[in-house]
Amino acid sequence: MTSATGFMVENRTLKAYAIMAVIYLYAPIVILLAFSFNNSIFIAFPFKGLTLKWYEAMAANTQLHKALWNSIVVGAIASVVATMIATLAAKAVTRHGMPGRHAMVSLVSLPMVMPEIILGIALLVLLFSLGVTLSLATIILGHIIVCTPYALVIMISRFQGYDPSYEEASLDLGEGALSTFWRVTLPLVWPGVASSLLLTFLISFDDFVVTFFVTGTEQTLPIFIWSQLRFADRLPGVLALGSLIIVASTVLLVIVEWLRRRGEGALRTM
Amino acid sequence: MSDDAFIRIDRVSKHFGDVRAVDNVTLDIRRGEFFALLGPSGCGKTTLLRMIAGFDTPTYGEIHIDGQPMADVPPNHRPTNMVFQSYAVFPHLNVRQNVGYGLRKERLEAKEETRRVDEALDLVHLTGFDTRKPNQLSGGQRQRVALARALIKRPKVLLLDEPLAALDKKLREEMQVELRALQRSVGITFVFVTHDQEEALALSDRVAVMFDGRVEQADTPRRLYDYPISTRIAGFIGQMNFFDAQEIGRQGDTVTLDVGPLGRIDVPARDVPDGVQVKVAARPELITFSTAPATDHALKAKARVRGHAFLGDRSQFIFDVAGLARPIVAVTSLDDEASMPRDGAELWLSIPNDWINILPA
Repeated sequence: MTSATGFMVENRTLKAYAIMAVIYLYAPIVILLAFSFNNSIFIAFPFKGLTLKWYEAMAANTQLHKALWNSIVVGAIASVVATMIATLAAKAVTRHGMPGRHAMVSLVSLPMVMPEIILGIALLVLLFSLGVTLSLATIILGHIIVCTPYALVIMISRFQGYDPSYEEASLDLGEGALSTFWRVTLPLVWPGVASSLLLTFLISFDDFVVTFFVTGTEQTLPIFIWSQLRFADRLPGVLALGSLIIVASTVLLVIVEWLRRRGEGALRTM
Repeated sequence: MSDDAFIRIDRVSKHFGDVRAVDNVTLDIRRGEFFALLGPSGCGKTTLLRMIAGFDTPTYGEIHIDGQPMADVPPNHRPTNMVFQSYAVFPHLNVRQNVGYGLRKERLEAKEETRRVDEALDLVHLTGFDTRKPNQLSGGQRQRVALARALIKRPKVLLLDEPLAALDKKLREEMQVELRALQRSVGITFVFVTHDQEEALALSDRVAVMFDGRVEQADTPRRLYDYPISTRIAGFIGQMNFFDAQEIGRQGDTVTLDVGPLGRIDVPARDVPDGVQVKVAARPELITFSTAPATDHALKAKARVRGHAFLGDRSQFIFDVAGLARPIVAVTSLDDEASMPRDGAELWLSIPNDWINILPA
């Protein structure tokens, strides 16, 4: 049958296309992983043999440890604060029929579509005019602004995903607003909170542009990596570091996705 | 207003923007009563229930429960508990935790709390389901959890929002019987919302029928059925045949109506206020048919059987009468198939005088 053959051909083309798309997406990452084990200071083919010395060098670099620690601290604080703001805002927007709620959501989401470089400059101008010294605190401030819109999108969709009757039932059974939030709202939105925390942590951990503008003397990991690129002999070490970050990010993203699906599954059976 | 009002709804209105969801409703609900708010969707019955629970605030008017004004009392301090249409059984808690949810505020001893939860589970026949999660329960079981969770609070009033709507027909009929028995055994005032008139008639001591935000008639099921005050009520509660009628004479206490092809009838003048256009209404089961015209009934007409349907315990016949725009529906419980009229047969219909309703058109 011609139609079946036609379908087969189309199917094969589609498969080839899909494979090429995946290669295109993952080639840089594979190359980075490969060269992090390459026994040469130059990032060029052919391979000179396997080594773990770049990983050893990285492990011995105390400056790097400090930057990594800074990134973790900044990411932890920024993700927690952004998720808290987003959870309360999402509740207000979805549950309380707050006047001007649509305008508010658009306003909070603005940093998501605004070029980060503009945001970085604006933040720097503001901080300077207020006479604030740049430090880890100013980085955290910038990251909260960058992270909150993403957290808000996640939390709003979580709140919209379940029946407001649950909270009314809790009030009806004698609990006040605060204990209803602890006993009902939080457990129900928990998968959203968890995926928001992980996603915003990743965004903060990865952020370069805004961070670049508001960094003081203490560096985060992306800024540290950037500073290393000036020295050719440190490049393989950066590749080793990059490889580890890719592995860690992948694990985190898989967890985020797993939480999201599990959460949605639970809501479906309610 | 009567003195035995347990829930007093006094000229209550609720406006959402320009929409009057509830429009100047006054109702008294008695202690221990099984009371239904019945009406088509969008008639304001759920909004009224939510105002009793405290989830919505009246725009105008007041609600009193057991003599206490409710205006400044939030839902968590009202002597009411609610069974939600979706049941709203907390998905993250098991059956036992759900049922005991409302007891935390009562600060009971652990032993007493256990006893109360056991008692509530027993009341709704869910003993042994303690550790099940809501997603492991059927719709009927989830409803029982919602009932137990509300009743364990020993409310003065239990509010039920379309409690049976989500259940299939067989389960719904079982739960009707159980709800009624439960209400008798706990003696709590039940107020429930439904759009299903059969359910309202079967369960309730009294029913308030609502249309467009207003209560049109509040009465016992029997009186609603036998003495509807409007054509809307008559048509909503059970089936009804309506006939146009013209006043052609008024003498003392009697008014003579011309009911078109059905003839003329004398009715009490109080049923036909001056200048009011009326309709004559008759229930299908009150219309009789035979091969010869009845001599003692005023309303009768020659009719042809258009069709019939066998409904098990009764049969329904559709009759065409020359000069009437709409066919007449009659229901009989005759069980002798041989004596049933055939389709196309010509018969005499008659409606006993005392059994008709005169309603404003």
